[in-house]
Amino acid sequence: MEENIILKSKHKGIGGIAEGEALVTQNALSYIFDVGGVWHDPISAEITNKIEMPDWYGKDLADKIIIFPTGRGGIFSTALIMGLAKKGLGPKAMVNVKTHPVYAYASIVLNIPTIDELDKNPCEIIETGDWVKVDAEKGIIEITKKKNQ
Amino acid sequence: MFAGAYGESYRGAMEILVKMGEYSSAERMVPISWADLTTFSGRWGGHGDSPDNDLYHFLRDFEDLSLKENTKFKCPMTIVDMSKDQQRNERMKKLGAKLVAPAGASSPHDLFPWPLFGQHASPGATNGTTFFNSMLGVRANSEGPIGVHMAALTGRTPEYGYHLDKNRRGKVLVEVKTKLKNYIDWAVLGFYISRKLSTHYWDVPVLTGIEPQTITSDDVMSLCASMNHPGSITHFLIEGISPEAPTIAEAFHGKRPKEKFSVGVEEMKKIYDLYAPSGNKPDIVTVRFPLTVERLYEVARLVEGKKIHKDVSFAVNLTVYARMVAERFGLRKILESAGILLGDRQGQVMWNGKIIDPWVDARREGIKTMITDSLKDCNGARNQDIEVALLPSLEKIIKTAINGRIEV
Repeated sequence: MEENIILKSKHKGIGGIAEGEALVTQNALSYIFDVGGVWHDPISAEITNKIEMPDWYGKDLADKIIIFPTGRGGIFSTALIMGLAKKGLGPKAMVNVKTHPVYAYASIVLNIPTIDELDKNPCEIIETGDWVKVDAEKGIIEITKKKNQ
Repeated sequence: MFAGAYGESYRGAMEILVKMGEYSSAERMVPISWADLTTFSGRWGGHGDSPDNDLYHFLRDFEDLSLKENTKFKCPMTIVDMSKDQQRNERMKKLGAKLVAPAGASSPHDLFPWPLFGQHASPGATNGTTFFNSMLGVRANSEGPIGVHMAALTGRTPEYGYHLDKNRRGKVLVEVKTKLKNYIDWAVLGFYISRKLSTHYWDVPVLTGIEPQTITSDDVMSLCASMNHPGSITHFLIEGISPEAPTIAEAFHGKRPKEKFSVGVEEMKKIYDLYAPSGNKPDIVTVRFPLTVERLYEVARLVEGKKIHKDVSFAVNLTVYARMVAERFGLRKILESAGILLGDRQGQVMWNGKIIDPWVDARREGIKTMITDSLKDCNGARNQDIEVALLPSLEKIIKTAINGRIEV
């Protein structure tokens, strides 16, 4: 059996430890423009933007370890992450190539484990369905490929 | 402040800033000349079941603590005039905030005061931040309301990203190989670049091929707005226009670009095609990019003596100055006689006799098609599962509103 893959960050992450199933995209994510579920009744973290997020269209980000290159446009994403997280619909952790400051500040006040600047591109190494443990304090992530689970 | 010697509100704010500084490998804090919380002063109000409720209360808790401790914002701070919430206005005044008018809340048209070249600042509006960095040479990151509030309170921000020289230099060369005919074309150009660099927005693009004498301030603001949709370009340079890019060599600090691409007719068409209308009947027509005085006169000229189609809702947003001109020189009357709604704040339209925000209400109100001049709308309102289409000129948008048929 293959060993788990460990990626190391240049620095300490935000928050503590979280583990769970990974949801991976190669596209930048915007909560304000992509997560239309916040306007649905009941509220959800469902992706509704077909044009910019075709690979995540219809997926729900709640309670997932979300792996995406960075955030994109719109400072209101802060409000929406916070609104979802306070209802238990936030991501379990965020792993980025480079975290957008809007997302970093949200993670700081919500204590969402968040990590970036890893020694390899997490969006290329991790696949959706892999099991990922984020240890933000140590600045590492541990990946168990789904074929090894 | 971090040790708590000046009270809990300063300590709490500094704790957040220090965590951000550690995460972004900042070596120190820098004093800022100005902060702006205009964009988060109640777009959705933070009331009832609004999704921004929790952030609104998070910031209110900070305000309460500051009031209790009698602490003040340590740098000049602007916030939108919440005339419907006088109590909040008074609270913010007590904390040392200056108040500004609500129109143009997320655009640089109406922001006051402007920071100056080389100053560190914490602007609130996404496109305002891009405008200040790229056109004025201000040093700022796009951080959102939490970062801005904490920076305003302490008067400091962690020195990372665009506060540092090394991150302000050009990285990507963009050759513009097409003539841009109006502000919507400029938005399309920005959108194309923003999309292309969306996963590495920090690689500062440098635009070349633009004749400095032909670009207007409206064009620049339109470009800055779309640089953040769908990507997040907080800083870019235009050769011969941006203060940090008098020449290509200076824009790149003498280094070679790591990437190059060009934008011509084909690339522009790709974006127009992405948001081309598929039907022919509009429900809502809106000129969402705030009307400057120049465009206000253009809209008035196009609608004077005409009527908006009875089945179409048509709304425009005005900058504070354009609103004053509209009142004083009779343009408001021309627009309203034609049946145009002049929204009180950005994003409002009239639908079935009530004022709504399509970004939030379109789905539940049964709106199917919206025509706009704004790529931000294309991004934002599509989230409501409605068709949002971009038309290439103000003339076509207004013809559509008058005829009740989409003009392509």
